[in-house]
Amino acid sequence: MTSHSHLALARCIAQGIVGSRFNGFWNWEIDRDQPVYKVRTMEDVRAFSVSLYSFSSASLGLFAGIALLLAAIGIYGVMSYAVSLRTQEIGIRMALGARAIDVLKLVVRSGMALAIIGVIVGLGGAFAITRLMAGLLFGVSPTDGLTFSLVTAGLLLVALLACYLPARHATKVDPLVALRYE
Amino acid sequence: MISLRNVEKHFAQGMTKNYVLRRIDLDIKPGEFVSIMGPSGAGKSTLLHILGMHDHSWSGEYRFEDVAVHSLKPKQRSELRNRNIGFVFQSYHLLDDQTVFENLELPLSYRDVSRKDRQSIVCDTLDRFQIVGKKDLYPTQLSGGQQQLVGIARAVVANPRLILADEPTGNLHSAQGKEIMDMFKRLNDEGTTIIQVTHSETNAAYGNRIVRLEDGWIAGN
Repeated sequence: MTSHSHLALARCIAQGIVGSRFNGFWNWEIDRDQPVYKVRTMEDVRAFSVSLYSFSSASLGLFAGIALLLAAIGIYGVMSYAVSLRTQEIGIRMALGARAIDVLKLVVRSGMALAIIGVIVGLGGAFAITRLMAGLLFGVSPTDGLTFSLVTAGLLLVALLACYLPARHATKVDPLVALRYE
Repeated sequence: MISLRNVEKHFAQGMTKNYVLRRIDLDIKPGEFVSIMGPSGAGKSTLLHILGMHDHSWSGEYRFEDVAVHSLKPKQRSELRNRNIGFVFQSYHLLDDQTVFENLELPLSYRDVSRKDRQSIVCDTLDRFQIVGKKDLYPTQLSGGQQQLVGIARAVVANPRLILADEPTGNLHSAQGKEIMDMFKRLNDEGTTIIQVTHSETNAAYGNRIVRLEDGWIAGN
């Protein structure tokens, strides 16, 4: 609601303050000169009362998003480095018969093993700490099964994507170059 | 078994072509033990990797058991290689974080062999190479000669018809080298075709034919 419409609402309220005649005098139940101010709709009152919680929730969401992005970049970086360290090993495996899909599985599997360990540790920490956030939650328990499941699935999906790119890079290793790699 | 016709490989250097192999014509029959010799930079290892279907950037005709390798796509070449060829490298190239048993199992795991069959084949191979006692050791716990023995065992574990060896005794002292060459001789006597790259006339004497390369050309066959 705009300040203009608030003003109109205040005027309506002021006009609505009516008195009654008694012995030739107006009897005002409310002081007719009483200023009507700080007029707000119920929606505004509700929004103001939860604004602190909304801000906390938005901040937490923002930080969680940043943490997820950093985690994805971290996994990508670690896996890229691991692939560069394993160039010779990958070349040997390819020389011994490994196909691109075998190399892809090898790299993704090792990356996902790390991600699963991270998710298990993270879930344990979340299970312990979310109780402290109980006051910020509405309509959902601190250990809500569906939320934990969706977050786990989301994190593993992000980890899978972060592992996939270095894994695809690993499939391009030339065994000839890798076998000369010292 | 192998027939090369007019095989060439070059690297582009600006506007000029720097040839590594020139007009290579070579036939190798099943059961032969061929040594490729020549000075450093003559193209020996390059020829070996073309024969082993690791190197795809060459021109000419290559037939392996009547299969026109030059017409195959890289994936088909890999399948043909997996079915027929085993490799032995100068630096062994064993995986250090895997035991001897796991190293031997590796080529089989890429050939759709069931886990049970893999274990049985690896146990037979360990027995054949008399390295059963080493099966749980890691490569770094073995001597150079023992590592190369495992390297040869890994090359033959999938029962290839052809073994390609790139200076297999290059990192070994003479006694270990003799042991390895005796093993190649035994495998050849059992019917496996062997092609080795070597600088050593002594090692070449184990074979029945020498191909000499010089500056990418066949200088003697």
